[in-house]
Amino acid sequence: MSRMTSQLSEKQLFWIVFAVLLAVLPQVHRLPIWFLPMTVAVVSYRFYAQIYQLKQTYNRILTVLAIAAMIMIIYSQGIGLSREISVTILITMTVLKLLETYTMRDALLVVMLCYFVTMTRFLYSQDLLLVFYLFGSAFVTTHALSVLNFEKTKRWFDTSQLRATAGSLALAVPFAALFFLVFPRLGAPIWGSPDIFGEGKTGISDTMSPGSIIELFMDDSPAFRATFKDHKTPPKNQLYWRGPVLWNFDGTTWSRKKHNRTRTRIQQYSERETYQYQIELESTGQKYMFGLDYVVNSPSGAFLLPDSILYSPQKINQLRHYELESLLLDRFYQPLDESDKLLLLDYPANQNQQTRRMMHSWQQETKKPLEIINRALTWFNQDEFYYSYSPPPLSGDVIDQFIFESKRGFCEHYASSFTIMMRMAGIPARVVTGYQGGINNGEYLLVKQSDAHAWSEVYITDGDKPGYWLRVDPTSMVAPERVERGSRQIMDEKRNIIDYDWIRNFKESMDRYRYRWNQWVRDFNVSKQQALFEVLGIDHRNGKTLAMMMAGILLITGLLSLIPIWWLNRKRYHTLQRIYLELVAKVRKNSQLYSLKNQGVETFVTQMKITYPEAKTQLNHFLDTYLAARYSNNANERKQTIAHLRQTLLKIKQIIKH
Amino acid sequence: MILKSFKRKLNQFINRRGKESLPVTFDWRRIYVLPSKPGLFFAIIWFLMMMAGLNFNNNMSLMLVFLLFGLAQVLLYRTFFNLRNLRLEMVTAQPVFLGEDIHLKVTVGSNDPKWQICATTGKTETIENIPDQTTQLTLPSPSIHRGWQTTPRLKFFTRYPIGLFTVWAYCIPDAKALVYPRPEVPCPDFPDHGGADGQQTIAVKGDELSSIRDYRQGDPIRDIAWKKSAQSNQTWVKEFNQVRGKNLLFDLTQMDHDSLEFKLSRMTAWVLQAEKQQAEYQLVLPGFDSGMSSGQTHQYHCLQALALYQPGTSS
Amino acid sequence: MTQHASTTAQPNKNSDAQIINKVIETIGHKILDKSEAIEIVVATLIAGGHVLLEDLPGLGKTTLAMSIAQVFGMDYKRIQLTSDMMPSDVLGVSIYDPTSQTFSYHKGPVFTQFLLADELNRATPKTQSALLEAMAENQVSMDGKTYLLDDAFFVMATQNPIDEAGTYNLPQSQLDRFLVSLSLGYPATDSERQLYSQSYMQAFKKPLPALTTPKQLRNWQQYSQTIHAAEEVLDFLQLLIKKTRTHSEILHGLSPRAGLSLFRLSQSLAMLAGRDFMTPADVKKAFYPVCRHRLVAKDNRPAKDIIKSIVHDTEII
Repeated sequence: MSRMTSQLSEKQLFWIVFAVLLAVLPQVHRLPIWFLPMTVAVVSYRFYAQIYQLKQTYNRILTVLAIAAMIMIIYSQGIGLSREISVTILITMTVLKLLETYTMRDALLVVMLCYFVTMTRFLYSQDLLLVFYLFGSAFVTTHALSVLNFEKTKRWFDTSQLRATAGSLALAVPFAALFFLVFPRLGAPIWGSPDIFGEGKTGISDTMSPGSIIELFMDDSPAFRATFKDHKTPPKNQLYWRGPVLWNFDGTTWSRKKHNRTRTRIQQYSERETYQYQIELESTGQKYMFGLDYVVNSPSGAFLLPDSILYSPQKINQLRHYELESLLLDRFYQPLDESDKLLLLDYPANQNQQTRRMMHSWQQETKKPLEIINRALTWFNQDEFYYSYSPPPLSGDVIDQFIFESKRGFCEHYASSFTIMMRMAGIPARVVTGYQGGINNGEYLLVKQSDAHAWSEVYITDGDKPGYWLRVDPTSMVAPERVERGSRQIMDEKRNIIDYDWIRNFKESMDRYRYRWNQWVRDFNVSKQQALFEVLGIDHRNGKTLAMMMAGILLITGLLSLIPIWWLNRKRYHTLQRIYLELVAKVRKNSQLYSLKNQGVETFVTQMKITYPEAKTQLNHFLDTYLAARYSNNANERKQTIAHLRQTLLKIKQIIKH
Repeated sequence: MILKSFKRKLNQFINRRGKESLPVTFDWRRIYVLPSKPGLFFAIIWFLMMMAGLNFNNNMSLMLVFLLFGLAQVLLYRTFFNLRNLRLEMVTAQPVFLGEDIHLKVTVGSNDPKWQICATTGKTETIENIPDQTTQLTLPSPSIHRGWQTTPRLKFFTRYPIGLFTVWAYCIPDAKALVYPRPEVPCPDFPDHGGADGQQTIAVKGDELSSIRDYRQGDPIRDIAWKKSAQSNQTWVKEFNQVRGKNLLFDLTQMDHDSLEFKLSRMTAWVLQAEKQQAEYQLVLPGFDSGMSSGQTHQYHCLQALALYQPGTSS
Repeated sequence: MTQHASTTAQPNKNSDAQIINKVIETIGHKILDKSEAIEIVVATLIAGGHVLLEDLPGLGKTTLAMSIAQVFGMDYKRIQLTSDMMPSDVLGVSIYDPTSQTFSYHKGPVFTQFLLADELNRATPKTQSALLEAMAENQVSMDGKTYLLDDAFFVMATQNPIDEAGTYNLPQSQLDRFLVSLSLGYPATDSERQLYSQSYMQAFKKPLPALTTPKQLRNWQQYSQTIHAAEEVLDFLQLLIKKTRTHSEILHGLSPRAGLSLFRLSQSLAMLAGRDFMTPADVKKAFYPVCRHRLVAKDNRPAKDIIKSIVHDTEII
């Protein structure tokens, strides 16, 4: 037990601190602002204490520090038992524990906690790149344990010990992979739900205020991936991914309408017209799901709201997969309530008078909605409108200012202005946000945050005929290439200093691995596991079979990791030793001679000359060459010598056989 | 009660091989494996991690969890292989006096390198690496009684490389250590038996000047008595002699005390003292007579006789 | 280029080995059937060490010594050690000359090239240590002055192995000063028969021709120190030494000095084999004579069988 209370060496402390820092740092951005300075202070003090051999700080001081940290956590993150706070407490206490880590017992505790801290990172994100973190942290933590247990040398980075740790981890990988696939998973959480974890809201939100979309243009991270069935992909200008539909406008900000109904499925359509696809939605922290206009029916676990938005009851904090079927309709027939109609004709009455006057004049000239729409679009097209990511800031009567003065903007401005213009002209209209386009990334279509877009939808009624929704994208009038080729293609200036094409291309090709990763690892769940079991012909509902299988897997993986260890522990010979053993193998049948093999090449060959006098000259030659090659000072022409030795060996073999 | 009988049975099982003649190779049949205390803590943390991972079906957490499980298994093998085929080659010990610790010299060997091999008698432990072939480690073990003392059960264990598992093996080597009686402190005066011959002078070259004689060819220059030579025409050479000390006789039967152990203890002290003074001495026990002599070997014979003396064996 | 260089170096190396082997062969004419022992003695000579011969009388110790001295063309002296011998009888004395009132140093028999010290264990420890000190330091210190011995000074001491009265066994520390110890043993039956033949008797009487010179010997001694030892060979050598230290039946293992002796003897054995590098076989060959007098088993027996088993059990592949 003296081992447990023994003091730590500097090397051991270094590895402990290394393990703790590596485990903690990838979470720093989520932690309170004071966390990083605290960590630096703790680590510096601990090293200072080690070098100057200061005694352990009084427990009372440590208690005070711990309480202070708790108060700070409550102050920064609020009170409560949310997981967010639990994780913060765990991490903070792990770092503070370093102040107390003077003996082996505490050191082991801290280092093993690092495994847990590493795991908490994955509750927030399971990105492909975190694999490096997983293995890196596991490696350093395990090596810290190894160094705590035994220091082979005083060197801080002892290659042989590092290699041993890496070897152990590498041997554990096949085991981990098998277990990952077959270890029975839970269908639903026993307690709590994964929703609680999330990195905050990302992607398109359910409001649109000036500048809200521009942030997304800067972001190249994936929004979702769509895999079309049979590679039947719609043309690019038809790729309108519908997100939140915005009804209300208060002069600056657009917002949603709350619904208490759902939309029914589209009834009449032919199979051939539909596109079937699967969407892999990255976590957004929100409840919207995206689909190609217009979705036939809601997928399982989601609602279809009357304005054709897919809506999930839970926040999407994990990767979410769903199957969809869409019809690329020109006109979407749907009855519209009078109350809804009024809502869609509403606009701030005392603003944007200039636009209002112009729309009234247009309304005087024609009653036909389509003509007014065309006129508006033509106006956008032919007047001096420009597509720009850095428009001048607007305030007050934003529509007036945009249409008559600045004439510079992007989808947000055009969609917003066009919608209000239509409403002023008495045509019900709303703004639809979502994504437009996508990059064909091999087997799937990658839609990035920078593909965010906004467009308009107008409701056309023509006499007694049923009314229908018509999608109008005013941006395409100004910058058709935005729709044809994607948002990035029409930007001239770089968005940030590392915004180079090759980096974007690299990111896009990286996304392919990420897609695989998502498919095989991140989204592996009960149903995929059951599918796997079915393929393997295992009855996954039978507990007994499962238990048997687990035992079998344990055995197999056990053997799997045993074999390499055996292999590593085997005796290793260098080339010249192997040549000698080849010679020995030639006389395997002569047991008396064979038993001399451990006596060295000279004794063996001497005896062999007596047994096979006919090969004497060759054996003599072999021995001389061999000894010179193995022991002499100038054994430089190794390759040639070895080839020569092998030849001699061959001759000896022939002579012996006869 | 049940626990006690279980413990006894367990010990019987462990000691089933009895005393073994060396060398002994620890093969898998005699190796025991259990998680160590840090290993148990690791298991607890691992279990919590697994529950969290399964509950949220968090696949990366589960990857880490299963990686650690695989790691634990690999480490189990590594630790096991680190002890397997360890050879206990030899256990020896120098004789000690009762009350001192016996320093067991334990020689262990192996054909492949082994690290962090701990040997313990239950009270003290020593850690050694065996980078190649053989290594000797020293284990202190208390001396309990006079005479031959058998070696206690030795336990060899290792936690290398990470310390999650303890792998160990037992062996009771067939080796013994000689324990001399405890010498009485302070050493009492020698017995006044009159000795064998009293004092004796031997012509051995020593420090005391005894006489002066004529120079003979080959005498070393430094022995020449320069003063006297200068006074006469002759060259004189000094001769030196040394008193070789007393002859002592220690006889157990002539000692007047009730306790045998006390008598043996006193005689031990005398033997040591006599040897220290380079005197010749003789030890007489019922059934043993050392003869008059001195020197390391003589001392060893005497001390061994004292250590092994049993009152019944007087013939 | 390398080819050329090696061909020029080759004949020198080989001719040395040839001469030495000729020497061994020539001595073998007189000492029948003992070529291995002769080889070890010659190797020791080249390694700059001294030999301890442990044999019964009449087994050819003197003949061997004479033959070697003759073949190498060395000065030869022989002292028969007895219990009444003083150190001065070996080392020489400073004699006081009363007429000139000065001391003059008269060199003892130790001032020679080849010294045969017969029955070393008969001399008193004092005389023994005087001789052995002179051997170890290659010089004699007498009355504050130092007299250097010959560069090629070589001692062959003999010992009667049978414990007789009036002998003083050399302590371990003194035995260590001999590089090797040997025993010629009885000749084989055939060779013994040959001893009685006319031709042998005639050859025996004739002194052997000097095949080489002490100067040449010194060259060889210097050259043998340059013999290369690969890491692998050194590992093997160290392993053998370590085994003597941890062997359960050996009292004390080889000292570092003994290890050095083993190394030196292996070097000169490699040279005798015509190589400029050592092999494990050289070490194996050198191990027994180097250990023979140094290792003692626990119960004071000589450790011959143990030494042989160590060599045999140490695997080299």
